[in-house]
Amino acid sequence: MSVLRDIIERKAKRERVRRHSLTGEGKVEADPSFRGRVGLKRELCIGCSLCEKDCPSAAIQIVQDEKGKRPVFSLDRCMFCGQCKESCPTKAIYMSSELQLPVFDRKALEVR
Amino acid sequence: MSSSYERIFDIPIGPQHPALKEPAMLKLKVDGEHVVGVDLDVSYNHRGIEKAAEYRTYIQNLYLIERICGICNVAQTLTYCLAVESLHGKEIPARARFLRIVAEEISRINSHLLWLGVAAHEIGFDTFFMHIWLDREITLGLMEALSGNRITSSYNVIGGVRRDVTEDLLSRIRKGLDDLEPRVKRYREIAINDRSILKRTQGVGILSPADAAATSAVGPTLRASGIKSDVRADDPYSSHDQVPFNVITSDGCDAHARIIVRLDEILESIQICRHCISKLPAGPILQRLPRRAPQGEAMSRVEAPRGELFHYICSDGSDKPYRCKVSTPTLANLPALVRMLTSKGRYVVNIADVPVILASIDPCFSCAARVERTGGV
Repeated sequence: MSVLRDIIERKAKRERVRRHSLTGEGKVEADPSFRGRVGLKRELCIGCSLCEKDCPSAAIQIVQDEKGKRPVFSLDRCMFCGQCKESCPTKAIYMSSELQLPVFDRKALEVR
Repeated sequence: MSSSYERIFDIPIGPQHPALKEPAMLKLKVDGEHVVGVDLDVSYNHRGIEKAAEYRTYIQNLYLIERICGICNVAQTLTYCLAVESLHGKEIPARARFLRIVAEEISRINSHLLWLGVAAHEIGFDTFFMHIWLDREITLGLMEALSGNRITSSYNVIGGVRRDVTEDLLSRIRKGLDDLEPRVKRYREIAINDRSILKRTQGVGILSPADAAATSAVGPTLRASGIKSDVRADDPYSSHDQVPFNVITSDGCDAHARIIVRLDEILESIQICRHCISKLPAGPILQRLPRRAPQGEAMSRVEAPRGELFHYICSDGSDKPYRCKVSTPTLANLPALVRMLTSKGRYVVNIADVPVILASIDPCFSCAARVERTGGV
């Protein structure tokens, strides 16, 4: 019975577990410092492929485009550790705080 | 038994059982309701992480090692980084050492609150469990703000820490700790006074100081038997010698003492965090180290939330470790668990006490599955 006081206190303060939803009202927003979807600033990338070498889950592939070599991130393999961002010598890789990545098509999880 | 009326029966608990959250096999020998013997097998979840570490570079291993244990991930990466840094023979900047303590203590608070919730659940006190886990959200929020993720923080890197803190974040951590402290004090009050907790835990799972020392128990399990031993105090690995703190012990030697020791440790961790934040030195947070580690061997140990965590790394001079060995606190606590299950307290252990005793060492069996059992006992 000793937790009865806590239950009443929390009720009075309207503290409760929040109901989360994917969209609209009650949508969860991550902290700005959250490590979410990976992105590339193409103009800064020099194609050194250090990110590919250091990626622990082999989620990065180096491809050739009109400007030269560049990484392609497969978010279905990515574990959002942020090592590519650390390894990048020109700070071309960034991580946004985008939290939810549910898609119907696997292709949408490739960051090109 | 010689007669046809067999008195001692084997009751298997696990590897899949409603009262067990992780795969372990407890073969109990019971006489009526009383446990008289136990045979323990924890090798159901061997993941081959040590072997996998030999095929990855030191940088990639950081994330593999982090995944040995989700809850103690800060302690795991810290131990690994300390071992690699001592291979290089380099000191890391003072600011990074203090930030490592902050991250470590926040994760310790998180782990102890999680454990307290699980213990309350095993006792059958689910209201307590939900209240504790609601307050655990505070530490998860702090971890997310500090490192960028709630659980797998990736905060420690070889040579320092990954992110610096801003003044804004420091005041946020201070506020979070201020919110948490009265809550933990309240839980301590409940744990001492509540009759259902006392009835389920007092005098249950006795581990005498002599047994604790003989079975090499570690962490809160050892300290609840009245033995003052803490790696942070005995072998300060990350500027702990500059932080004043008490090693919490209790003379209760039972499951209740383990609850109280962990709750007091949370309060102590809050003080350590506050001290580190107020005395945070200025300077760089990262000492860049080469990708290839020099040839040699290195060992490191850290006081993880569950007890002493030990890493051994052997390097042949390449960018991959030649051998990596991990010894987790749960593995060290298993012999003590067997003593507790066969202990004679005010009464012998009943089958209904087994989940409470098992939970009281804060087991993490997939961390402990470091060896394969090959038949026989």
